[in-house]
Amino acid sequence: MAEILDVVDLEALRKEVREKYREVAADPTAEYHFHTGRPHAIRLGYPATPLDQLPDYACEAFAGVGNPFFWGGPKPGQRVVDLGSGAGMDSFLAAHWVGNEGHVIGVDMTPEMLDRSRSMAVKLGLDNVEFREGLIEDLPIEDGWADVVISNGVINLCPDKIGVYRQIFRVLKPGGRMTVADICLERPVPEEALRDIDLWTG
Amino acid sequence: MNRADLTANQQTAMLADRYTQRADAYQVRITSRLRLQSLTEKERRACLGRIRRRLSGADDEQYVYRGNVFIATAVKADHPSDIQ
Repeated sequence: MAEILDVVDLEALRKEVREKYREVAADPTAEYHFHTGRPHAIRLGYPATPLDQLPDYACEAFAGVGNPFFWGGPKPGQRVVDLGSGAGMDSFLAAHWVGNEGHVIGVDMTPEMLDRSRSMAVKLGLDNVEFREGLIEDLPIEDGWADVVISNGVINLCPDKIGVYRQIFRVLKPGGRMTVADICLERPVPEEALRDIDLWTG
Repeated sequence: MNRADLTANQQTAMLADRYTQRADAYQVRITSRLRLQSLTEKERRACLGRIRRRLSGADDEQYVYRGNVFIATAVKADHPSDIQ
């Protein structure tokens, strides 16, 4: 089988992913093939608190696939990186847990999602969270900065998964933890299907 | 088997097996069903129509397998010599 990065048109895929999540940022309650919002987070098992401390507008564009806080949230004072932070709900929850002594950096490649998450952070009065534009295969984070890396339903959209995990390894401190919620196929996907960008983005 | 022989999702699965903990949260088809049920009748009809159109144009190779949603966690080794 050919190397996946030789098969997939990376720029076309990123363009389609940006387009899909631009739609979600603009209209979170529209019809999508995935769930969004607070009811979805509750169904995935997010802890009632601090989820109940976030207003609806901070949750409505949430589009994760699982609960990256399944084994608990980050500790007070820790530094957290949220890969593919989207509308920012996971980052806001992490910011709640780490408190004023901690810091959270969300990274996303969709400008409209960054606009949304940044304006939400201002509305929520959170000054321990920031959102940076970038690719998760090339994180705009210094080496060994993070105590915790989280990701929710994003790595499946990246063909270079090994590259993403290398970046996670790079930005984590020794002893740091990553928690990933994602979708995984455990059988080979035909090359023609890999080339079909529609099948990546749903 | 080397990396070139694996799809990206298999690579993720392989890594996931080496995580310290792993939980299969649910299967994608379950969330798809819930999503479909959450739509209004009109939206559901439109959604199913698009699915039928897509499937009618797909060949056998394009019936891609269902994925599992997983949650996995791992700790970076304290010292390079700990890394396998």
